[in-house]
Amino acid sequence: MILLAVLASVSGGAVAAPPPARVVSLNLCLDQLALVLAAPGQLVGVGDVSQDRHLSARWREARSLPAVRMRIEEVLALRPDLVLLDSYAPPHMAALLGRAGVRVELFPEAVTFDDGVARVRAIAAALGRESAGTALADDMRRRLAGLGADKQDTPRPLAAVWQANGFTVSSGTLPDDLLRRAGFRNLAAERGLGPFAPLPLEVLVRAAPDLLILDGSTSERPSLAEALMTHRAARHAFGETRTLVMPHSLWLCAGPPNLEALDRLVAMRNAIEHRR
Amino acid sequence: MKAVGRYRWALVALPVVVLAAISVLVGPAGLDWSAAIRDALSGRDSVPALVLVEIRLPRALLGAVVGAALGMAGAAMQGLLRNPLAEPGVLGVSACAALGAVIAFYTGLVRLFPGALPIAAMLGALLGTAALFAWAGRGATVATLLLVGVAINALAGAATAFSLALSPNPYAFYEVMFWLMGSLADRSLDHVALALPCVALGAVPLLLMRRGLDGLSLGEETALALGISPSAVARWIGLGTALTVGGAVAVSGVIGFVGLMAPHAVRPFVRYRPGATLVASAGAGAALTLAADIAVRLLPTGRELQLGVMTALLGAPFLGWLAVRRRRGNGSRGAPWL
Repeated sequence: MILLAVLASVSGGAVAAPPPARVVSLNLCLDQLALVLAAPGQLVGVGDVSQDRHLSARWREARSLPAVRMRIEEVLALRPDLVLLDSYAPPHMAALLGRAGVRVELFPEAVTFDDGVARVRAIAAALGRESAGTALADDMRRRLAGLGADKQDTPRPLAAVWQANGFTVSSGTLPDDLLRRAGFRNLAAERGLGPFAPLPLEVLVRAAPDLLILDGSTSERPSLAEALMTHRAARHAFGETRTLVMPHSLWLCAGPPNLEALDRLVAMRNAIEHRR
Repeated sequence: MKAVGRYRWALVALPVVVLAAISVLVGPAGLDWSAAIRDALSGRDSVPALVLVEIRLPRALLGAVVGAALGMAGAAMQGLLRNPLAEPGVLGVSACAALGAVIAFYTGLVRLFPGALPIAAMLGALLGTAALFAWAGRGATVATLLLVGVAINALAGAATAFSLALSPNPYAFYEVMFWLMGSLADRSLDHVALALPCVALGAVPLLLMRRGLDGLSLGEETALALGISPSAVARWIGLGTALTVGGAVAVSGVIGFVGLMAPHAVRPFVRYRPGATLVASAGAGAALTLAADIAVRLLPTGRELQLGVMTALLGAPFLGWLAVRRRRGNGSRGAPWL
């Protein structure tokens, strides 16, 4: 019976079954969607990172639930009948949960806005909340169309993302997808850099992109990694009008907060076009 | 005699100036030099001027300032303790400075007051120096000094890692490498402004104690007969060491072995007088640090090697060589500690 349940979940969870009553989600990105989609009382635990207001758009709601670290005992203590994991979760975790008779749903990476919409539907299906999923997915599509983001006719300004330790993001990442949708070219993608690659300050300044996008902070406390983003050379080269600070909660995970990120990017693009 | 003195100054300054110039030339991409210099002089924030003034210049300046601080502090410690193996990095003074800097930085104190960074580093270095001098001061054997230094170094390093682990910032813990194996990558003129005054301030007592160090090298009784108070010399050298090392480590992390190698490199040229060694060793320390910092940028490593790793690669074998040479007892060449 347990084996059957595991097999059913691995084969896509399409088998008609009563909706799960006690769900634990263990990934920052899945948690935020589950918090929106789950029925009241259905979600009984989320990852501790989801309570961090610097990283999670749903940290308030997450704080009303027990925070779970990636420890199997903590998960089992919540007596879940469904656990949501991302495909990068440690493999032994899913295996152990399966042996304990808990259904596990693994979700693939979501690195585009469309992936986010698909994920909304998939999580809703796993929770037995298909109608809520359809409503949210349609709402995301409608709001995206309303942003006027997808206009690609005018010359597209160049943007560079600069994160902690001087890293940048390139093709195959969510920020890259959102930049394209907002009508920007991504410096890292144009240079053929890997998805997450170091971008030396000197190279960044010399490339002189129209917009510099810095990561928001991850904590009230400072770090050298993040202090680098406020280096005098970057401040002087770009100034306030050509710098955008993007909070992690808006574009670290695919989902509805991406619309707010797109809104800010489109506003910056309009300002840049206006100055020209 | 005057001409010789001037000639010696050039010997100290020339390598530093040349290496600082080379340091400014080294970068990940080419630079339009005429535009960079023209815009920098006219105060325009053009891209070449920014790269020159805000990125390359601070790195070269810090290489010179940090290296000079470590070279002078090393010479002062070797002179005072009459011990060829004394050095702020090896004996844990730098690690104590790093601990102070880490506490000031990661608690967020530096956001309220940027000067807290070097001040805390100097306080840390002062505590480290005081502990070192108290437990293994003048007259202690080389073995005692090194053992006490090893203990201070290990404790300060562990406390630094512990402090970083307490920070809620997810990046903090991974920055232990910067603090214990320092670097000059991506430093700015802000860091020059923090370090330079502290190092200059610390150099004053060290330079004022040149005669005291020379006197002490003749033995404590001779020094007393010359009107030199050994304990006063120790206090001022300790203070100067703490200020110079603290100012340097606050912006660069621990860069070891510079203070060990620099005095040995120049001592034959200053006739083994500890007082004269101070200035020459500051120059040698600056040159050595600049050269090592140029090397880490030119080496074909995937990611830039930490400067502290490079100086340790050079300095640790040198320390071993010094220790072996001492043991064989053939190192005595006129100076009592060699």
